[in-house]
Amino acid sequence: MMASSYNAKEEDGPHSGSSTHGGTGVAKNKKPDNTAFKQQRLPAWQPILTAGTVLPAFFVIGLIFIPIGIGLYVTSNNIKEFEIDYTGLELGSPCHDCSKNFTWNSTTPCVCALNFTLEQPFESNVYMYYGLSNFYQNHRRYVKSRDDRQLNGDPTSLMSPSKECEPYRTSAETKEPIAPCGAIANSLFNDTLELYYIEPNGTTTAIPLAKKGIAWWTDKHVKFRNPVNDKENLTELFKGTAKPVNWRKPVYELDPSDPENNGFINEDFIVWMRTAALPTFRKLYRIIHKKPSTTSTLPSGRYTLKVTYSILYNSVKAHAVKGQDKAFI
Amino acid sequence: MACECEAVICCRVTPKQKANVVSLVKKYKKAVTLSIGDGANDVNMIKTADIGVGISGQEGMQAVMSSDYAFAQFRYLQRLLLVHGRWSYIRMCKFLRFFFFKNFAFTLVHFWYSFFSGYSSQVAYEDWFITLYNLAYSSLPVLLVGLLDQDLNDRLSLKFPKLYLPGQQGTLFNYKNFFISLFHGIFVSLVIFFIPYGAFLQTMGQDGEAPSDYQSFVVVTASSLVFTVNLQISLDTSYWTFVSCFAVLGSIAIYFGIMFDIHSAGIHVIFPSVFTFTGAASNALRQPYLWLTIILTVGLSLLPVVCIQFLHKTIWPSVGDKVQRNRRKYEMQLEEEEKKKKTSGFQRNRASRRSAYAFSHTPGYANLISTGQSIRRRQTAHGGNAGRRPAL
Repeated sequence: MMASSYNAKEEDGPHSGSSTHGGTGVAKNKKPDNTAFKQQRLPAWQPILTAGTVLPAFFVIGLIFIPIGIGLYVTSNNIKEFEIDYTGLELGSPCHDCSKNFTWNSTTPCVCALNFTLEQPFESNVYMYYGLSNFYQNHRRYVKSRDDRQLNGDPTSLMSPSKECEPYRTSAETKEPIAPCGAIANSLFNDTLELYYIEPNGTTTAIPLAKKGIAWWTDKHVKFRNPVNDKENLTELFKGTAKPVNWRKPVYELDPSDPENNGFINEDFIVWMRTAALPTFRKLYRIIHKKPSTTSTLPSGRYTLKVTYSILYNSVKAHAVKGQDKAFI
Repeated sequence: MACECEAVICCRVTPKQKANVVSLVKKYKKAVTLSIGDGANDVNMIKTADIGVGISGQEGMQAVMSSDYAFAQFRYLQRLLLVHGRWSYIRMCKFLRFFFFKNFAFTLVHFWYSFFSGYSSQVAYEDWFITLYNLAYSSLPVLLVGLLDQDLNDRLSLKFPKLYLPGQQGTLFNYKNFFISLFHGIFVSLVIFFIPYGAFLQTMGQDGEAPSDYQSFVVVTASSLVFTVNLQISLDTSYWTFVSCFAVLGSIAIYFGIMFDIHSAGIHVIFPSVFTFTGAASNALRQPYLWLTIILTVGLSLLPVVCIQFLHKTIWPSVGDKVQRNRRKYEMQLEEEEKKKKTSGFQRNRASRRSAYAFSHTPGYANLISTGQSIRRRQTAHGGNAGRRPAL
């Protein structure tokens, strides 16, 4: 009877007609597997947004993060910062003469001094930064203009820098390759800032500024390497290259007193080559280490900042920022 | 006039006329048409309709070969439409909306950054991140949503045919939804750019290093974007399986793995000018406050959206939302009904016995029905007349 062979679960139709399909013996079973994955019955969690789940979740998130916020606020208020603007655009500023009369062709640097007073002493390590406003270190052509192979110490790139460095690739007069090439290196910040403490009796003492330890470890030891050769002398190593156009000294004279800080691995150079994200930025300049005894690193009182203007930045505001008394060690 | 009727029967039609009826409906009603048939005479009609379904069975395989879908029994059409069709529509719409959102969120950050980079089209992410973002960091979870997501299981979908209406009306993906995705992307890109911008503006690092450098900024922005996008898709998923959790966590893990590899010292030594972000990830992510920045960015991108969705579902719930809310109740009802069916003994349901054999040129099996051989005889003397009943 037709009825008995008509099974609701069968997919191939009644078997009495299977002779047309050609399967006399075993009919090929095309049924898909009855696994959870293929039948889309995987064990699952189906969350729904109800008031009972959303509101407690929001409360919990608030309860967790409000104390964190309060803690951060209190901590950040403990950090002391002092900012000195030495651009010298206004008439009354000590550095006004320097900013007005100076071009980068001048051979003698211009020195100006600013006096300021610290109301509160700065404890622990004090970090000195220089900051620039409206200096677009994140401009695309500027960021591209460097040769990382040359900075990594590759000897072939030293002599033939990459095309990205144009127009700061070869020197116009001597046709020698520039080391380090590129616009970033060319605009190296070499204002010198010195800090003097004016004692109550009138004598000025220079405050020791440490220049090691300001760059990232990976930068100093991996990314930037001096070209290595048989010759030890850096002057010899850089023979055949020219200094960047706007520099006063060539790269192997950045710090002749310390071979670990000379050439490409000079820390000020490394800090400058790490381009900033925004047009207003600060870069670490020097560190004033904390004194071993319990005296404060920078006691309150009068100070003098001596600035040696080396490069003129048009429409750029330069300021020295002394900052960060760390509340936690 | 035919459109005013619930159902129209055309009989004694040639294949060409069948196709003409379908194209008539397509042209004047501007509707999506589906046609189902099992014989060679239905091939024309199956091909003309937007969706053609072929029944494999007595009439041979011609209908099956020219169709988009094929199955063996007419009644499976219900499951095809109400379960698979509906799921497919929801999945496609979720996939598309999310894809637009994640790409807007990714790309518009460059637009905001251009205001601060001298309009020089400096990218706000590392080049490798841009290459791998759509490939590895955010693609797998949304693909799985497009394949496996279900808002309601199949039994509930069959029980409430009204859930099929959003598909017919096109409510889940239209111009309005596209613009909502766009604005969502704009909002998230604003958050992802401006919160790290504010954090980097006047900041000091742990050891006094000023991490206001471009590479750290890029790491923070990219990390917040990856977290946001992956958590957003997991919030959009209504059917959290093990596979989808694995995809989300896996994408985030792949991102961090690849990023630390690219930023490592080893690879820089091999390819100094290709991988220039040495040390960026390890230096940046060493600072606790950058992690807090990432958490703040992700939270601010996700929580308002959750809030809006929750309010929308509570104040203006759709049919799907209503069923979802009372899912357990309906599932229990279904189970009770099934139990009742089982305990009441096996009944040969007459409706399932009749099959779509009516349209055929050859006599087919009509004599089976007309002689009543396929119907269980009653004990009364009506045995002979039972076969007179119409086959449908």
